[in-house]
Amino acid sequence: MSNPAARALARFEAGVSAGFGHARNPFHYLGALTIGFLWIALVTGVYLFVFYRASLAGAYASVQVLSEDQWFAGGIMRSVHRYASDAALVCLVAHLLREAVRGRFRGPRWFSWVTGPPLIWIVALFGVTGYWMVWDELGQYVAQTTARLLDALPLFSEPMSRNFLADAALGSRLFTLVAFIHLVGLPVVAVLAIWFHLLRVRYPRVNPPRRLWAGSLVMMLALALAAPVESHAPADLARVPGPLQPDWFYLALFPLAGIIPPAAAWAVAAGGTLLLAALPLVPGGRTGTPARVWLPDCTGCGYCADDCPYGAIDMVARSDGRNFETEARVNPALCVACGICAGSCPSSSPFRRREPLTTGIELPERTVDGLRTELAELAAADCDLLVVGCDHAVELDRLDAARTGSIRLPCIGMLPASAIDYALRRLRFSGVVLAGCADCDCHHRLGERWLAERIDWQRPPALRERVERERIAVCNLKRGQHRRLAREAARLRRRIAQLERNAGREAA
Amino acid sequence: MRRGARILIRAGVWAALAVLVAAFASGPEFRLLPDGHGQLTLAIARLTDRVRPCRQLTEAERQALPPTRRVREVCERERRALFARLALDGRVLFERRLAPSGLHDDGRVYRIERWPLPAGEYVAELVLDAVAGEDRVENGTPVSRTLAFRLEPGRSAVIDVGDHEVELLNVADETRPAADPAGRPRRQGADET
Repeated sequence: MSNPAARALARFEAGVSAGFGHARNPFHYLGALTIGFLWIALVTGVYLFVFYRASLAGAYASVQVLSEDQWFAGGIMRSVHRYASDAALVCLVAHLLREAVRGRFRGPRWFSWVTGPPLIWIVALFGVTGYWMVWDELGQYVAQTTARLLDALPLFSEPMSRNFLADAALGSRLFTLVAFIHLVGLPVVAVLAIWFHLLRVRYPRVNPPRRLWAGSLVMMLALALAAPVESHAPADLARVPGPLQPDWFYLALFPLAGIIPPAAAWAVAAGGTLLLAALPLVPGGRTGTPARVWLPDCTGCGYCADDCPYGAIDMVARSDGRNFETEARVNPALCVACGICAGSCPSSSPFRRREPLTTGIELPERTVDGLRTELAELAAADCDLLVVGCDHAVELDRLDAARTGSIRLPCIGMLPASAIDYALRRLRFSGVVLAGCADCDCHHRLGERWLAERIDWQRPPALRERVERERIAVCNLKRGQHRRLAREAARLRRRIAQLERNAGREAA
Repeated sequence: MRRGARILIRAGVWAALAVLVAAFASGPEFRLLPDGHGQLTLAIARLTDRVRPCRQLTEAERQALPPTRRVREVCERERRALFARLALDGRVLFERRLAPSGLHDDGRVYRIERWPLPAGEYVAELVLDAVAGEDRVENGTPVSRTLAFRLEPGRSAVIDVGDHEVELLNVADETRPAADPAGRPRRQGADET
């Protein structure tokens, strides 16, 4: 994450985290918020459909009844439905841009990236069919423009636009079809597309935290009350609709179809989608050598396979004749060399006396033996506070504190819990600061979470009980937050000093 | 950070999203036509004659066919292209040779063209003629229609060319006496001449 846009984004998000906290920063949940807003749109849509009449004569009237006669329920539902759909598209596009800026489309992430742009099309189709259903002037414009666009494709034997020449040419069946597409067809396709999008994402976050849910709902309700959605004049095919107040989130490209030929509009939209989908082909984004399994130390426990965020490790039948059922096998095509597997391997313990230290699974370029050596060197250099960070989080090289040594790993999740114990007990560091990516924003998605769970005894291999948790500060921060890191380190020093004074008094 | 500042940041983020959504969910305004303009649409969906006429089978030819396929005549699928010209107050708006649809050129000729026009009274002259190949060859049933109509601002007038008739939709054809005393826009059918 070295490009200026990514650094600027990190700083902006750090500001947002000041209000929400990293763990509830909405920018860390843009994908989940998209799904959340779609849920809101679905629930409100079901209510609206109860009162909707899918016919030429009934569509507009039924929506007006909802908006005016029962504004306190149907009207608010309609407004929330509209605004939640808009917010879903905003979050979806923001999610896409955020991942693009952070370069999270390369390597094994290509699949999730490529399956993302089709979701924009599906959500956009929700909007198109939804506006059509109201059958006001905007719905008429959407229907006529959609028909023109579809006529440019070799889909129908008779141009669809002929249905919209005059009111007499239009049948109510078309509304039944559009309502079916909007209410049944597209939701099914959307669920399948989201499932496909998350197929290679392990432990995906599909629900935002409760407070973000609550914030979303309150915002939607406030917006619905402050600016209730209203219909345009009823559709009249004898007139050209206008002036229109379109929903630019969904209909931004529609005016384009009136300026350039529909085939060219398709080319622009399809070309844009293909360009987006082709981003993973852009060279760059170095990935290290894939993790390597060292069978003499692998007991087939499966922790590495459980913890790998990319599903790059499979447990397969034992091949070396040892008395274990399985062994780990790395799929190099999926491995991004984050090292989380090394952190989850029980044999990655620096307490082991073997020279050089080997472990069941680790990165050839960043071994646990190397980590142990680095720790020893820092201890020998009279450092009494250890800061462990990662390649994607707060910059450790800008930490200017006396007697503080720092180690940078590909991901904080690579740090074996036993290494913390080793640093405190064996090497006599007074405290350890863990400075991974901000909570719920780990570059490798799960590193900071796994380490926190190991420290809290929720995930094996856990940090031993004998380790004083007061000597550990978990300080997951974004890039640019090095001053805060320095403050947290100083605070830990003070806490440790207090601890030691208390211990001295007790001993006395 | 103080609790008040945290609440302020949260409120600010939600408000920013709300303002963004509200700002573009219903606007800015967009107009399809300039002020004082209407729209004229030429919509063609016409089945032209076949390139070669159907041929009656001789009795010998029929006997040679399987019993379930003994039709009286056979027709080749290909149909003629259509030459269409629309002039408005003497100014040619559209003049083109239109191919039939379908993989074998066996479907209708379809075409929809739209023009924004200043409101006012217009006289449209439509000429339709079947053509074969590149050379225009009249097939004996050319169509020539004159339509007069008043286009009001925002109105959408449609010249609808069907298989057997040319209709003016959504506005009244002023070359014909008014048939609807209520003054509603009427569907004006017309025999081809």
